Amino acid sequence: MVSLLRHVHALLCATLALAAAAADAQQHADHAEHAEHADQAAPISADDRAAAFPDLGGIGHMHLEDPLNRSVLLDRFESQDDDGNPVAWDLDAWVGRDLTKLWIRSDGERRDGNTEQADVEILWGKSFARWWDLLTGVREELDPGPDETWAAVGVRGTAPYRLGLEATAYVGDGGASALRVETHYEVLVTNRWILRPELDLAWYGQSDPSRGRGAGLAEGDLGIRLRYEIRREVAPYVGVLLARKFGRTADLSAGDDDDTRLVAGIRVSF
Amino acid sequence: MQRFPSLTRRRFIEGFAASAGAASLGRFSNAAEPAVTEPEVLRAAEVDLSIGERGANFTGRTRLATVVNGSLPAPTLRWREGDAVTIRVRNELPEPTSIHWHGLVLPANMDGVPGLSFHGIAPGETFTYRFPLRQSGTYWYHSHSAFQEQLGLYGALVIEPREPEPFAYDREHVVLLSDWTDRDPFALYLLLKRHSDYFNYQKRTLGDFTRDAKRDGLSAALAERRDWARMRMQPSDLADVSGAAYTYLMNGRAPAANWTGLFRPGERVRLRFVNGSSMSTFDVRIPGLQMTVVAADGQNVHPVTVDEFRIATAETFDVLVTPAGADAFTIFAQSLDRTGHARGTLAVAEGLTAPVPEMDRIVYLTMADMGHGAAASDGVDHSSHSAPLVIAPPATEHAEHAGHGAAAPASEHTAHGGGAAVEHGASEQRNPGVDMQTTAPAPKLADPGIGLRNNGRRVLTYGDLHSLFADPDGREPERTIELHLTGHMERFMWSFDGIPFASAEPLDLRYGERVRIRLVNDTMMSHPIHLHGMWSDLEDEAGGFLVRKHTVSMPPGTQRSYRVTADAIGRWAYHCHLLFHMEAGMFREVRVDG
Repeated sequence: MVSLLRHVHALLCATLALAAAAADAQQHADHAEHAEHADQAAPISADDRAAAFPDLGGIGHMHLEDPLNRSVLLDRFESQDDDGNPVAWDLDAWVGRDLTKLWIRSDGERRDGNTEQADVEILWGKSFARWWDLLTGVREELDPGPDETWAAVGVRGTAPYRLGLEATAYVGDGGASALRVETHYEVLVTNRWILRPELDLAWYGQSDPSRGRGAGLAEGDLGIRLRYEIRREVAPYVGVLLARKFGRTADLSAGDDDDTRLVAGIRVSF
Repeated sequence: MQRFPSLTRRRFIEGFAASAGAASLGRFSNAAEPAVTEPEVLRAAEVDLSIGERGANFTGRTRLATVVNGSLPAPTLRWREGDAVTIRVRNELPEPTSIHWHGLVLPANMDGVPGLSFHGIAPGETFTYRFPLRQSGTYWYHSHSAFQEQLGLYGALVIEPREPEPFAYDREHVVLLSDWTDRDPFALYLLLKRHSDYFNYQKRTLGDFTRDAKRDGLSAALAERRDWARMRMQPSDLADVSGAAYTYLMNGRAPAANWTGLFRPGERVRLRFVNGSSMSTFDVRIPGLQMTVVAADGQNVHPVTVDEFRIATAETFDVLVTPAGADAFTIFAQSLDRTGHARGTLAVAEGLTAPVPEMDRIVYLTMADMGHGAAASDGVDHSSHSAPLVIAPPATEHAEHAGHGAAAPASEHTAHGGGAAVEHGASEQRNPGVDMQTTAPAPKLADPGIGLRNNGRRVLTYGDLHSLFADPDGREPERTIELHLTGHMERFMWSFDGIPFASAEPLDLRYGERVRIRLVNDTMMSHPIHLHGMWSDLEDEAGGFLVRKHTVSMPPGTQRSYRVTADAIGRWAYHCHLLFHMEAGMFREVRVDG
């Protein structure tokens, strides 16, 4: 019995020794391989270097990383169900690059063939955060009344919950000031039927009865439009617009301060 | 969910039944222009390639394609390991061109990247490439100039080994997958920069919400919507360009034109799959047949038998199949976002077809997919692929980082044990070109990937790939370079570490050194990352050598590491192989000198 155990022990020892020798040999082999590899990283000859770093005459790798781009979005172009058959528009266009853009924005309204209200803004836009652009420039109010120029500074971007937001502060002649906030959201009824609620608010710093403006919250438009994207660029829509005037502005408007209109129009981009 | 039920839409996806060669020419190309042909096989060690334009009709409309010797794809090149090859490339385009030999180890001035390895090939000029073939397997070649790759300039490249293969087969076919669009690629790129979700018609709708609320409860559905809405992202963003713009091709044929590869019953067939697309990931299967994967990116692996595999842009896989029990089998390659597919047939005779499967339903991304450490909400057992990360950084790592400047994020890197939070470099912070950062990335090597989990089929994963050889270098990397894949979905900006190519310093490697590159995906998209001139030796979770590749796919929420032996001096391109991501700046120069 004892001798049997001895045999087993001897056998185990031999096996372990063999295994150790094998591991050793493997290590040696690995080592040899490494040494061989180190040899492979042979000195580089002048010819090798000349071939690997050809003189390209300063020509760099061409990339189209940040090409000049442009976008035109006629967000609203609509006929409204109201006296004088109003036609309203809202245009957002830019030319520029990934993080810097020149914006042109315009909105307005015509009734009975006359321009009731129209403005154009030209703004320099710079992306300053993940979701936000800073816009600075000028706003020209063409109607109503004589032309009026405002300096503008604002932000534009996407708030959490995918809320589109534009907020712009304005300073005009004689210390006049105003603030406009536009916010919208898009609900995908399907991937082509898109419901878009939009709320636009305007405040004025001072009253200006000649232009029908009262200090404080002055105007609010709540629109709900349902569009169908025939293709991304072309989407007819129908909707409802609730236009209200508030406070002093409402007082100055002689009763025309609360309007609900049906609208039908087309949204076009290119 | 909105599908595309209309006939025109179906024709667009399925393509024309006629092969490209039978194209009728319309107003978008010169009527005198001959139509594209199907690729020939060129076997000589001296080859003449001529790059030009021809009319191609895959959708019912003819467009100008960029072709080589008149064909789309370009001719299949068949060479022999050990030979020195000479390729004279003549440019008959009105603009500069180039050819890059994807996955080949060769001198830097033969690599074909304009502005790094050479001047490019001017119109009317002929450039002669000459290099020895020091490897064997399935590779491909493509233009590295502007958007020519999207227009058709890609072809398969097969190098036969000197030594016998470690497996046997009776015949073989190249299966080159690609994506074709009728749109001008530059216009498409500008469109993505204006409207990054233009081609995504799979966004979740009110109807989807109602269904989810019924299934998971209103509060769960609301909470899930809230998470995405807070991030201002879309869980359906699986592909930037979908079947709304693409017709997917197999060997240059639209699905309806049914590319057919022949076999005789009882034969074992080798299929050399190449993803030569510009922007598409494919999930490939052959219903009724198992596939034994024997090589990845041209390099032999321990055979692994699967029902399906995912092939990222620029990857290649060689599989063996033994068709039996039927006369025809469909090769089905659906796009990752399930908006279209390429299709062909293995058959005993031309003209036979087998049933074409329905596309799978789209599976939306979850917060866990993006590495946000949220509990798995897709009912999948993640235990196999969300194991704590144990890549032990070498002791020299911190010192290296300190001295490495722009190559690595400025912050200190801690050991990523236990799935610890990842750190992000200063260049990613307050950067309007970076919209997201992952918080708990993992290698996910055993994860089949989104849309393939628990689908009842055995799906290949990176964890299944084991090179047939031991780590050919064997040295431990001396240092680790960590790079984060970054971008802004909505602005369609792409970069490494928040720094696009134009603003980035080259990544310097010392000739002969062994480095580890650790990639962390800080975006919600999958990026196939390709290093020119040198191999990418992918590591497993424990830091061991797994598989040798030339293109490493990086799904969202992943962190993966590979070793690189800097044994080739020169200026090498290193980039995301999604064409529009590369052009947008997810690109670095790697400079090896010593």
